[in-house]
Amino acid sequence: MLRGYIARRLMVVVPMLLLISFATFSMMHLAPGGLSAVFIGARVRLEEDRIAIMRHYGLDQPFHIRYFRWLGRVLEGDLGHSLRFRRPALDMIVERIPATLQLTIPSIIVSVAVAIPVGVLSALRQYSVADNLATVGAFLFVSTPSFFLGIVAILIFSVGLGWLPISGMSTFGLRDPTMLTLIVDRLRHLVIPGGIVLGLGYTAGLLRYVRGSMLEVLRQEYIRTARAKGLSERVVIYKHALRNSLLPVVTILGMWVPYILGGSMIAEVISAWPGMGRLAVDAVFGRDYPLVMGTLLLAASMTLVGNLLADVSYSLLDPRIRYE
Amino acid sequence: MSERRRSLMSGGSSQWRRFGRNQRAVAGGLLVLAFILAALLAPWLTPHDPIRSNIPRRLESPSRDHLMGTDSLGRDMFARILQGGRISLMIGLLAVAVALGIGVGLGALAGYYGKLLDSAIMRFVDLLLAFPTLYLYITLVALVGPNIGVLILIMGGLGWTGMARIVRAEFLKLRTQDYVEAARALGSGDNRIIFRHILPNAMAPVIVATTLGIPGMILGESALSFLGLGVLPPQMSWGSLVNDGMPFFRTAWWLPIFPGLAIFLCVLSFNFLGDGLRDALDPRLKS
Repeated sequence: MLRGYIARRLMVVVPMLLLISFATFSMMHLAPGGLSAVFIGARVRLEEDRIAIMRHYGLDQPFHIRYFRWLGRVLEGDLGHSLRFRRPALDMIVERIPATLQLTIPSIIVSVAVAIPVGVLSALRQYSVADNLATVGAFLFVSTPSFFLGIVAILIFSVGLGWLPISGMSTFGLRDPTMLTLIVDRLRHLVIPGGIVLGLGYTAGLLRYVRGSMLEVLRQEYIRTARAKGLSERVVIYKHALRNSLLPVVTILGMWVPYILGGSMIAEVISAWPGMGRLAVDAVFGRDYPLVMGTLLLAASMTLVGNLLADVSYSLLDPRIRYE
Repeated sequence: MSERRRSLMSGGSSQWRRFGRNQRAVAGGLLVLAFILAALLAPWLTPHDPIRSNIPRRLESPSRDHLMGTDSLGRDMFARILQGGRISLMIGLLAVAVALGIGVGLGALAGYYGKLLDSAIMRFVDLLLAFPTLYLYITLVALVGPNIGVLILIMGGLGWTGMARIVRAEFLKLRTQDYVEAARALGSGDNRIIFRHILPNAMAPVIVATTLGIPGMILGESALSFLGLGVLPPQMSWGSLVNDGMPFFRTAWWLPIFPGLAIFLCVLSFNFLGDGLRDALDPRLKS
């Protein structure tokens, strides 16, 4: 049954990837300011020049033929060349992925490590001072735009106190760097974009969720049964309640998969972090459409695959899930 | 009529009482009202013009005359934040309205008719959700060109998936209820069942999702405008004011801080209000 479920999910992924590619291609080619307009350029006035350029790039072909030709090239790993940098778009994007992952993965891990214990304790001591602090704090951070958190943090910790670097990924010209100083330097650069801009929002959102889920479980019959059996409070909480309350949390984490690649754009822009998000923003400003198209296509495809992995691992974790 | 009978007969009153007891929700509601009033009355709340520059008085820190300081062209930040609030709120409200229309329509169709229509609509939802939001937004904005109408259509036109899922779930739950069967047996057509019998009973989660959708749209607009791909000069929104202030923010801290605080407070108020509405309208969901 499980294997069937995974196979069915896999079978949905291929048509979805095709749909993603078609949606991306159509957007780029049908929009008024889209690819053909850029290729031709505003200065070409003569009709025959225009037609010649269109023919040169194959833009005179019918839409579906252009789509399938493009798709064929994409499947061979050719996303076209950046108009500004004259380099393969795929290379430029792949180069940026490690920086993005270095930003998002630690911030997600730290958020989970903070939010789960705090959320559980908050639920166990509902309406205590600590619970109120955590709940109100989470509410405040969920409501704050992430760029604002970044600006405030830079003003306080970088401009005001001088504790943290203002931007970038590492310090230029560190004198005789050892492995340790390099790691410390990278971590110092990570605090604002990773810890504050991304991390606080993630932590706040997850904390609210963990607390709600734990409260929900504590109200269940089987918890009362466990207590009635005379089990110690420790066993009731940590064995019976905690495990069941964390299952829905896993779903939420699965929904976070897209953030690993696509959620750090604002943080990257604020801290001049050379990741994929900043590449996409720069490409949009430079009207570098092959690059824009490439980032969109890659981000969406990887999100889809990530979601698939999350779904499958969730179905392995929770046998109650319905295999429809 | 005795007090007890009246409260039994008007189903809404207990919900209002529950809402009224929730201090956070009431405070949120009042703040939302204050933001809307400030947006409506903006030109009468300050003597300063949000657009006319006054170079000799550029980058002044907050003072009695300029409550929130002046920007790089000497314009009063308080006046600009009031004006920006008009745009930010308008975009937030209209984008949610677009999302509400599409989400309720498609969610109802998917939930009521099921089968092929349902899977087609839900696959389309999956397709939209596969694209990381900001990547999709900035690409579309770049292709169509940023302006206020485009922002509303893009955010509303893409931001309806949550609403559609909620409405679909309600329809799936309600369409097999006895009272719906009864209505059908009495000869009600699909339209009548959808609009007169099911939709009114699905309103509570829709109202909550709409209220909680507004801050999401305001945050989305502010993120786009912060990137410089949303509201552009001479127009202004809270997000674009933060963006305008970025080149000077290390010395002129008030430039990004006040519009940022405005976004934060406004979003917080809507979240308080929406949470309170959820607790009042749907106690099962109370956290």
